[in-house]
Amino acid sequence: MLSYILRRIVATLPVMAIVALFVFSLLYIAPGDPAVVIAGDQASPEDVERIRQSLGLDRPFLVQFGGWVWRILHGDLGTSIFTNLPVSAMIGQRLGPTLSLMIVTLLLTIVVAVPLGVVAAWKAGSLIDRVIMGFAVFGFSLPVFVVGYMLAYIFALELEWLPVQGYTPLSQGFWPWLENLILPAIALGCVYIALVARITRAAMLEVLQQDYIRTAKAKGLGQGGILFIHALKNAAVPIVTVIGIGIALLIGGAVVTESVFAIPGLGRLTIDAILRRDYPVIQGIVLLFSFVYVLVNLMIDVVYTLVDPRIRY
Amino acid sequence: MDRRTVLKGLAGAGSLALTGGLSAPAIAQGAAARTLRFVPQANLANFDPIWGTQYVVRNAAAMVWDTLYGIDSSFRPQRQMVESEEVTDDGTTWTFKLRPGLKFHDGEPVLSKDVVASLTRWSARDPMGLMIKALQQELTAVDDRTFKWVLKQPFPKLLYALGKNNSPCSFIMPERIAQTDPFKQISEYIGSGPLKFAKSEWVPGAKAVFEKFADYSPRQEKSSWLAGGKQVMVDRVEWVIMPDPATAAAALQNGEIDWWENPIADLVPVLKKNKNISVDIGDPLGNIGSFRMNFLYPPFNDVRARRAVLMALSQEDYMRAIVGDDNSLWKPLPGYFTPDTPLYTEVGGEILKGKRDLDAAKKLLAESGYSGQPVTCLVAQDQPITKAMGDVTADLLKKLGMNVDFVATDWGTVGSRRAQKTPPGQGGWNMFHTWHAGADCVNPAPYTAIRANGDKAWFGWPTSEATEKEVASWFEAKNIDEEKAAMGRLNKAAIDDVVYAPTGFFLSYTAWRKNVTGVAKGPLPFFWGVSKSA
Amino acid sequence: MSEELLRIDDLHVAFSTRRGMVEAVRGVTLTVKAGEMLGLVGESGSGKSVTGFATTRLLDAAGRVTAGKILFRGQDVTKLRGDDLRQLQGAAMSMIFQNPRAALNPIRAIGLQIADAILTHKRISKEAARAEALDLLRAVQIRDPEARMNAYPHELSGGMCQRVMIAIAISCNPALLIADEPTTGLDVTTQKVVMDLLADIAAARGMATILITHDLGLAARYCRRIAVMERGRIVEEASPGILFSAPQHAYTRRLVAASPTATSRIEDLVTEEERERYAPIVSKSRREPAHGTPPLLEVRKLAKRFDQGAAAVADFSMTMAGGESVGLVGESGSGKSTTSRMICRLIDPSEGDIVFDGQSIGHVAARDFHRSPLRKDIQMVFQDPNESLNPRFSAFDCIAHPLMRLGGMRAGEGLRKRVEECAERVGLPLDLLPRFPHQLSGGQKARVGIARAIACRPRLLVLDEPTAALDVSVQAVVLQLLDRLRRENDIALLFVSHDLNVVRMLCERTIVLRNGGIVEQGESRALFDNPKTDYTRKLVEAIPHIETGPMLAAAL
Repeated sequence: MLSYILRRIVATLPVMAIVALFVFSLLYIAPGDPAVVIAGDQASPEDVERIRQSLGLDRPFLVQFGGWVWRILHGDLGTSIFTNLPVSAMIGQRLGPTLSLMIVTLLLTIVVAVPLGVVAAWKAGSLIDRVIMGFAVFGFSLPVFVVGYMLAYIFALELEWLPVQGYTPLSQGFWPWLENLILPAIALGCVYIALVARITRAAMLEVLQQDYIRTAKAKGLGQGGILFIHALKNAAVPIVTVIGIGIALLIGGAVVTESVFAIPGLGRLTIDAILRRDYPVIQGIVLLFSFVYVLVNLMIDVVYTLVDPRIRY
Repeated sequence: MDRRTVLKGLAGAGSLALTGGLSAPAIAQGAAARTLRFVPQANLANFDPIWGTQYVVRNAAAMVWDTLYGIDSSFRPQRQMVESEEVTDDGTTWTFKLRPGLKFHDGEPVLSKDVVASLTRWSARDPMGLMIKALQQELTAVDDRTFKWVLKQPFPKLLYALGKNNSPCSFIMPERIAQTDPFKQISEYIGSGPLKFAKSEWVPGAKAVFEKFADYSPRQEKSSWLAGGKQVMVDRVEWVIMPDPATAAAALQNGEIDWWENPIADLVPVLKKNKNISVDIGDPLGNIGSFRMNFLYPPFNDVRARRAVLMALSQEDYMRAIVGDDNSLWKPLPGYFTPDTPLYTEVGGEILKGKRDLDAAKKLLAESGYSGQPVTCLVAQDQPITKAMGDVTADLLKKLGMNVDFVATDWGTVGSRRAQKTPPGQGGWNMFHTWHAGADCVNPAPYTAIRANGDKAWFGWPTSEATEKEVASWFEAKNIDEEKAAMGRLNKAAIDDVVYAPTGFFLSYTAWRKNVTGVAKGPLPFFWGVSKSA
Repeated sequence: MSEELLRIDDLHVAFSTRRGMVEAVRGVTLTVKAGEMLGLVGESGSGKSVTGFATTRLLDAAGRVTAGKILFRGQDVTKLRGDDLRQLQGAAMSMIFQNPRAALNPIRAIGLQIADAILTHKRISKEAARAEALDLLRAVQIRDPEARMNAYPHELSGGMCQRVMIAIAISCNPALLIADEPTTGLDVTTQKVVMDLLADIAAARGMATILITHDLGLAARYCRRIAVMERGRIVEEASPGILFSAPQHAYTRRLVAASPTATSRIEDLVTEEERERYAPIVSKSRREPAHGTPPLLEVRKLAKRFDQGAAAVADFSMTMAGGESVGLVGESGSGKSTTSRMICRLIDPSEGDIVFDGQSIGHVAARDFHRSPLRKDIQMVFQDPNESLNPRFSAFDCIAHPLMRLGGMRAGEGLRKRVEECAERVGLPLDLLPRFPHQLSGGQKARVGIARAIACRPRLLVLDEPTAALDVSVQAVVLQLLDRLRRENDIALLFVSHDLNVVRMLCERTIVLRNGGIVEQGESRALFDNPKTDYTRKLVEAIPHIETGPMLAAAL
């Protein structure tokens, strides 16, 4: 198992190298130039050119790429063109908020979506099922920012229960930390809850038709035991898969959520960096995201083996 | 490896990242009243006001670094760090003496050598600085508090250049920092102004914190814009960057922030209704919208085609697209200079006034030889102002019978593509939209967009000898009357040759909570004189 | 021992389907006494399983008891709710299902699954429940029960899984056990072991048992009373002896006739009226091939090894003459299906050669064989007619497809005629040709499968358990059809089956396989009457023949 995990991690290296080359090339051919943004609207073309030179942006593609790879291999993600801060430090600043948001959203999703899906499958065709699935369609079709505005309006402005925006690090206390994450997690989780609830329902419906569920009933097991001990675990593989895929969805949704709730996370850093053409930052983030994605996939595979004894690596 | 180890490992890694990332010190309840939370117009992405010239950098820098002179609300340069100055009768040799007791944020005194290094770096990047540099014989420190600037010819606008609020301002930094290549970024932010920059709390794109500098010695005069006594009444100024205006509005209503620099027009009615919030015009100098044309290629290489645009365009359409229905937020602008400033002029602006004449414009366009070539319009969709103007322009050009090639893109792309001198079909362009801060358009000195010296001019590379001649005569003007006369002629020349098409003058609001007092109107947000009650 | 445990009174069960309510059970009345084993026999769709599910309250959500009562110890089961119901299920009454592997939770250790049942009904500790589960595994004679406690169903054989199911079912000493087709899908030898175990346990514990089965022979072997169901009703109820010697109802007569016995012939499988039409065909003597005619098929030292482990088939040789029928029998895993697929050229042999009509075809790669002109000479019929027919092809398309692909025919009048001809050969009414598989019955689908196989006039037909999924009455008809095709069209049949009765009737020669090798072969009747090896003898003895005498005597 351990050797399998190690092999999988090693196997990610070529993937990351391809991603890196791809992103670097894409940025190279994409229109826009950080020097122009730095110089400002009033700058002369000569000023812009001198800034380009000082940033090394005038060098040939391969020289730039080679230099970047060389530094990466030495553990250096480079320095932001704009802030003059190390990219690793900038990502470090933003990791906490995004990770917090992701974890809270993930927990919220699992706690809400899985039971909803289970109940919907159990009561398939009933009013409860239709209400839950109706909510799922609703959650799926509402954009994150709309949900975000509605939540902020109701719970922050009208009821004044929770703050409108911002982020407090966990080091300043659990409640202040959580308080700032509840609304964003709900907003971000909506689509995700809808997705996971639907998949849970579908997977459960399939499992509930299996013979061993009838066996469980024949044993006289209670509804709860049948649903959660026998059925849910058998339905877990597709559910775990979709939760994993959903993490990619979360990364995308985090960009909007972080903007709406003014959370200083990686999503906003990404957008800012792209709009300004802060190449080293964009490259660093893409590298990080692709690594996280590969890691999540690995984790899903590991979870499979915990859930299903028939799966072995 | 079992399930528990995986979970433990995850929890460990998670909590490390969660607690380690942002470790701002906790703010006690009482201190909250002495912290001013401000939402700026844009993200403070870098903090070198000479290297990067965005307004937001200038606004933050004005807290952290002081200048030798400061422009007051009547556009006159007043002494700031300087105690006195002398100029020889021929106007070529200036001798300045610094105020005593000036200190940098690291506790070191401000000395002449720091000033010399700072001015040297500044003059390599600032348009007026470059003009002075061209005339410069020497810039030297005489003693710790005295320095001398010797020119080959007189430069009457010298003090204006040292006090102007246009970016880049001549901020005074310690010598070792000011010796940085002007085209490279500084990484140490030791200021000379009333507030210190808390670098450790800086999260570019999210937060910037400024703390009151106890050893700053403000002037005794009443403060007026960049001049006078910069008395800081709060302990901390926190800039919170909010990418989403609706969130900023909610946070302001909720009291989570104290002051929002530029609420968007759509949200102003909501804020006005709130009894805890004051809303007012923030910068009376406003902005001037620009329809910038490329002089190098047809159709806008022909003055008749450019005039046809002026003839047909309705500034009201553009302004309403930007500000909405609020009539107090815009004015028609038959010229290029900022309204309600001393040198404002409308001479020669008739073509922009009165009923729009589409038929005459079409006729003129036909005379210019236009016959349906595509007209490449670069429109940044991520900037509400350029997006709004772009929509109006697409409609206008179609009405004129032009074949519009509408390039919807982002500001970063417009920024680099507009520098292309190649033909429109080969990566170049025919027109783009931008806007200029009214503060930069009060006179020709900071106004790069009005220059028409062809290749050396700003994007579009307009050529207009008449315009250039009048710019020079303004610089040479000895008094206000001569200046006004030169400005009138300049306005007319620029309109005749259509250096660019002004789309109107527009203002924006600023909003703050009523427990905040002392918010002054000006070209930039001033944090001195502002206090906050609990 | 004669008290009445269960009384079903005029039971009606209906299912709501897309086409409205369908009555599956219409007025079943029967009683079960404490400790007795009742056989409930019928073909698919007769309502026998539904009756069982209604009794244990395990009907699908779509099914509903519309009338009647089910009295268990005097209490109406149909009216129980909540806890009362759960106290009944698994405790007083339990059930064993067909396909035991699917009936067990695939990701829960079997020890836990047994303990679940115990813990539901007894207030004891988990350790105690585990100890009881272990005892139960011993009771159902699972070897090395301590180690098996932590095994998962996929690690056990089908027979082992059924023993685990029995352990679960008896865990709370129920008064009534309902076994729904408990041995269908198991090998004959395993079938016998499992049924013997079940019967022993029921007898030892005094449990009443309802054995639901389609296999009249099986019911006759273990039950003293048999109820025959047809289309939702019980048509006859009697002891096995009476049922076989003097069936009263027409349906029972047909069923008894169709059930193969140790001595029955193909022509015996139908009622007497039908037999007359068949007689002339059988009586026609087959013309002997001229001496020195090369065999149609010659298989030499065939072997197949899959990626890992031992050979699935090794050193397999046989010959077949044109028009001959050969049976290939053995337990699951004996290599009979692998062998038949190699001969069909669906998979490649690892070693050896296959010579068909004098041409070596063993070395033509399986994926290229469809281009060989011999492809249409070797055709096959598969086990499950449901899964081997393309659901988007009508019956006509199914039969026409090989004619177009292999026979090179074009759509048109000629094709239509050929298809109709084939349909007639297999006794498929022509008005069924436009239908799709789901609109056909099991027997009709089997006919389509055979019509498709004979469409190109093959000389060798390989049949892989072609009747395993069919009811006995349908099986009888299909077997007759195959036999007639062989006799009339001179098609050689290679028949793969685990059902020895069927092989004995249909095949002139039989080859017995075990672990990939030939154990015994010879003329069918001789081989079955006088097996030379223990393995063959065990196979033969395991067949639940309808032998009324000795079993009953033993039970009495």
